[in-house]
Amino acid sequence: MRFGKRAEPGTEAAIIDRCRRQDAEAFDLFVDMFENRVFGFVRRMTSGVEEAQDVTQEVFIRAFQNMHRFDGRSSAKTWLFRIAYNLCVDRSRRADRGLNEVGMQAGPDGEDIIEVPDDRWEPERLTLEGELADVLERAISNMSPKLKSVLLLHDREDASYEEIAETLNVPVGTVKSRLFLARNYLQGALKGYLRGESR
Amino acid sequence: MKRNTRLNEEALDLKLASDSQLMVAKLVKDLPQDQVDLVWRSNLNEKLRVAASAAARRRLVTNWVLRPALGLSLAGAVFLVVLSGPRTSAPPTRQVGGPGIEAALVNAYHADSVTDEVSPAEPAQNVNADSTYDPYSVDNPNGI
Repeated sequence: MRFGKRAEPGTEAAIIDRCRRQDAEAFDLFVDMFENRVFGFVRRMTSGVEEAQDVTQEVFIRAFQNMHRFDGRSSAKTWLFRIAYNLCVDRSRRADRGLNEVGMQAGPDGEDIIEVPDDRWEPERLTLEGELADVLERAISNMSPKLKSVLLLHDREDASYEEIAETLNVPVGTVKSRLFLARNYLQGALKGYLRGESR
Repeated sequence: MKRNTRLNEEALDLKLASDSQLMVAKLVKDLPQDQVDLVWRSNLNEKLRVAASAAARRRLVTNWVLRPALGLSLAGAVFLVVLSGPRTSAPPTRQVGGPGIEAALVNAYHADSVTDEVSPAEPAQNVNADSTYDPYSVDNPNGI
C-alpha cells in the first residue's frame, strides 16, 4: 500500500491515510480491525493476560503516535506486528525470563533439524478442545520469542515468509527454519500429551 | 555457499509442506481467538485521547512558540554577525576639532591677508608711481 494517490473511502488504505492525519475516528476503526489479533499475538508472547493487555494498549498508542511516520512500504499489519514484537521482546528482556524458554536447536539454515519419528503421531485424531488447546498454549508459552513469533505470525496471522522476515528483521531462510523448529516442538508436546492420554 | 543455502531452503520447504507440519499449523490456526473486553477498549480510548491532546499541545507549542522563537533567534544572530563583522566601506575620515586647529586656520588666513597688503596688487600701479618720479624736480636739485 503506497500513499502516492488517494485511496478509496472506507478501505484499509483510506483509514490509514486518515490515521496519518491524526484522525481519531479513523484510528478507532484501525483499532477495531486489529485489536483482537494483536492481543492474541501479544498474549502468547508475554506471560499473562494483564501484561498482554498493557502491552497491546501500548502497541496502539505507539502506532497512533507514529502513524505519520508509516510510509506504506510494508502493510499496516506488518508494521503493527513489528511494533508488537519489539515491545514484547523488550518486556521479555526486562523481565529476564530466559530460563524456562525452549531455545533454538538448529542453525539459521535449518541444517541441524531433528526429526522425531513416532507411530503414535496421528494428527487426524486431534481436535482442538479444552485440554488439547491448553497443551498447545502451554507449549507455545514455553517457546523462545524467536520461535513463537514466527509460528504465530505464520500460522495464525497468515503472514508470508517475506512479511515475517521484514517484521523480525531476519532472512527468509531463518524464518523457515524457525517455523519448522517451532512446529516440531509443538508436535513433540502433542505426542507427549497423546502418550499420556492413551495410558 | 549460496547454492547450499538454496538447497537447504528447498529441503526446508518440502519439510514444511509435510502432513505433520501442516497439521500442527492447522491446530495453531484453530486455537480460540482472543477477545479484548470493553473495559480494555475504554481504557485504550482514554489513553489515546490523552496522547492526542498531548500531540496537539506539542504541535501548538512547536507552531506558535518554538518556530517563532527559532526565527527570532536566527534573525538576532544574523543581526549580531552583521554588526560585529568586518566593514566593507572605506573608514570614515577622522574629524579632529579643537581650538588649536581653528587658531592655526585663523593665523593662516591673517598671514595670507598681510601678504596681500604688503605685496603690490598690480604691476601697472608701480609703473604709474614710477611716472610721477621726476629726477629734475625741485626736490632733487642734483638731478640724481
